[in-house]
Amino acid sequence: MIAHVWLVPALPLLAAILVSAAGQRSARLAGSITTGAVFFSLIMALNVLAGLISTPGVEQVSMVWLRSAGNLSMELGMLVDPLSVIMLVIVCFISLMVQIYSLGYMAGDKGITRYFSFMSFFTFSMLGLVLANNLITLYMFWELVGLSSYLLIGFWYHKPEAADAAKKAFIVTRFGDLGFLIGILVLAYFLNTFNILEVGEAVKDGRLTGQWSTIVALLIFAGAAGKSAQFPLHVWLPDAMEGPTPVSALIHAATMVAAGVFLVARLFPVFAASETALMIIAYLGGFTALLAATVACVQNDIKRILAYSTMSQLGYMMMALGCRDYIAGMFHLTTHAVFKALLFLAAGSVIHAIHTNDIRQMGGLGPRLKITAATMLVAALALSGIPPFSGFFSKDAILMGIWAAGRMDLLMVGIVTAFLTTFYVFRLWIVVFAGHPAEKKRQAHESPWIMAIPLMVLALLALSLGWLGENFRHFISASWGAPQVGEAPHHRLIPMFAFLASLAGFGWAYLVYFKKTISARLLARRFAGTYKLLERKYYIDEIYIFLVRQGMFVFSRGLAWFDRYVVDGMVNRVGEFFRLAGKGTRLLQVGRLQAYLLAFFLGLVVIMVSVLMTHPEIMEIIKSK
Amino acid sequence: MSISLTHYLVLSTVLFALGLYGVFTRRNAVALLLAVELIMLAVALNFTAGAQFWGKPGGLIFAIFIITIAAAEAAVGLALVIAIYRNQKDVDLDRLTILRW
Amino acid sequence: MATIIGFYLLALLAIGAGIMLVNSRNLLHALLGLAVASLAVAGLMLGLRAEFLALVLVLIYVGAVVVLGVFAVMLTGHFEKSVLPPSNELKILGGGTALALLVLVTGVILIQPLPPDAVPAQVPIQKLGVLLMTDYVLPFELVSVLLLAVLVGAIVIARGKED
Repeated sequence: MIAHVWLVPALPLLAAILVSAAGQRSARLAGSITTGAVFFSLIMALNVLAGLISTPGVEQVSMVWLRSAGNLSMELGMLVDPLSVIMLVIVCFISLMVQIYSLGYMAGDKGITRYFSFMSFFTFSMLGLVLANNLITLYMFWELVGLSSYLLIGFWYHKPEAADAAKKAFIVTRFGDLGFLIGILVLAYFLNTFNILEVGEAVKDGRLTGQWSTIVALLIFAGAAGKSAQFPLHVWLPDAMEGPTPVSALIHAATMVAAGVFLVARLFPVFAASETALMIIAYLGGFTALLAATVACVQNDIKRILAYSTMSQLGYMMMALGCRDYIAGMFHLTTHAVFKALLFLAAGSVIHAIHTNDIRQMGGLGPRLKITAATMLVAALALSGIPPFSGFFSKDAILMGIWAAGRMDLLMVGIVTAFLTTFYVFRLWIVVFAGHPAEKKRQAHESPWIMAIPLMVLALLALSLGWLGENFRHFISASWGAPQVGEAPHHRLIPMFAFLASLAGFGWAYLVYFKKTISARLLARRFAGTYKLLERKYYIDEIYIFLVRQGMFVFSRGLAWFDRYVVDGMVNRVGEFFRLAGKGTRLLQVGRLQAYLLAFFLGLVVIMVSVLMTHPEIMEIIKSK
Repeated sequence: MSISLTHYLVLSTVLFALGLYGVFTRRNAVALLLAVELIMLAVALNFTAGAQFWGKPGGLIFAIFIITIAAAEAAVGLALVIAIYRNQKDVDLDRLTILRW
Repeated sequence: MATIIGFYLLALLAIGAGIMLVNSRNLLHALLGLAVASLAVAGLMLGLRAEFLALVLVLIYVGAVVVLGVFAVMLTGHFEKSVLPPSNELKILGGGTALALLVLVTGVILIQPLPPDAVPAQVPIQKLGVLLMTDYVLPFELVSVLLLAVLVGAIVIARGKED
């Protein structure tokens, strides 16, 4: 069974190649082909999962790809353990749902073959990423998902914002990826291996000492932060919403952005070796969670709200991992993948119905979009952490993990974030679905069944997934590299606090946006400064642009000067030297044959005289005559 | 005292040096070719004298070859001079600069 | 005694004609110098009992080369016009080199052990012919090919472009 696990990523790749090779001819079939491929991948992944549940273990299939001098070799291989299989199932499942949904959502788009081939290619890359058993393969797939993300954000490349957003996503993540690559190389330099298992063993043996463990962990975390949109590399994610909504659901909510969290989990022994690194990860996660949640409260673009929510939830997961609560982080990743994909798909359904992203132009859509409204409500409740929805369990697990780690400040951050989360998600839901219908909604219609079914399936899971908690916990703790934990930390008051915070968030949203007891406009005017700051996302984009202008351009100017006067100068001096040398020697080349002949005979005379000088016996002979 | 091989060799060397001087200094292409002819003449004399004094007729054969080649050289050289003159209206070597930098 | 006087007279004549050849600013005088030098050398060859070579020399040098030279002088317009004299530096440099070479080569000749002053014997023409056709047949043929090439080449070069 393990031997066939390579089929899971291979099928989507095959489908992607097939569809793009067939080109426009396969326009009608493209979606069916790639969806079918990912369906079979899902079945295979579930098969592997079932096998792993019955016989837990960590297996790897590997072949040597490149062998360098010394004993460092690069492998191509797969690591099958609960963590990677869980990720396999998540990716296949969300990809399947999103692709089914896309059959309806993208119908009639001119680039539909391109769309499905990219989607399938992304699925392949993501599956390869989670299966990788060594850092080089991991990095290759890491870049491939980045590329797929770039291609899909810029899917409507004729829109300048989409093209810019694609570039921004690619370039910003590149900063993190550079750190990741350097981290991999430093790791290989010290440990002499790329294999994740061997790396883990070596780190456990303490072969990475001193601050190097912190440096390596932080370098690798840079890659994770870039992909998972953690501060300060988060700026690309909101812009990435320029892509088609199903793309946002798959890549920028459920899977690719979770790759950073997955990476930290996958290389957990490396991170666990450094307390400092874990602390930085936890606090950066917490900071991102809070920052993104506050920004999400004032945005008006439905997808951007969700994008900030995603950032915030990823921050949550990072917090959990930073507090060594591996299981809670992965559990939240799983539930989040489901309910956030659902939120995005439901948002896509709304956008599909009324062709705008601006929630101020929506309102009262509930009666017309019953399924969408209901499923989105489930997702919102799950995100808010209202029991018995799945988010409640995973969020509480994280909060208790933080409590167990003894970081009370982060616990506060988590609870405040939970409050904000409920507020912004219900603000969204109420503004969109409740209230009085505005002019635009009359022609709004429910999405076709092909889009509604994935919503319902996801809603069902968002509702029920939380009950798996204990089983999940048991299963995932058999993953390679998972820290040894005993009983799940438990605290009776924390879920209460979190629940109360969520309830408060809900109540506030209800008062402001449903009952309108408190005027939102008045609040905005009252706290104009704060409002503006949040609306402009803390001016982080502006700060970056300023830094790039002032920092990079000045630096570049310095480099340009160096290039012009030192590098070019050297080249020019060399050229000048030969030009002058040529000018000098040219004087010898008078171009008159007679002069050359004269020189030739002069040379002969010189030779003869010198022979005469060096052989005195000749002089003797002449004298004797 | 009679005339020895040395006399002939020295004489031909003198003629050779004279011809060489002409080749070095002449600025006219025709005059230069005539100086080359003088060199050939000196060499022919040299060979003849050597052949006769040593009693080796092979030298005479080479003298014949040299005379032949001198004639050939004169024919080609002067033809070239005429061709150049037709193109450039000049055979002053200092002024034939079309192939110079 | 007569042979000695004859040698020195012809030698002086040849040298004098040579000087005229390399120094005269009138090209016709230079040509005359070549003709006289050729005749003088031919005379010396007679003294060496190489009558055939003397004959060939006169025929080719005086009969062919000098006549060709006259044509060249006339065709290049130097019939009356005198040629430019060499610069003084060139005269000194060229003359010095030639003189140095003369001295050195003469020195080499003087220190060589040379055969005794035997009176040279005449070589019959028949023997020369046989030698040409036997021992020296390869150079002989090469020279004939050379002459053919020169014949064709000279015509092509001197005739110029077909109008």
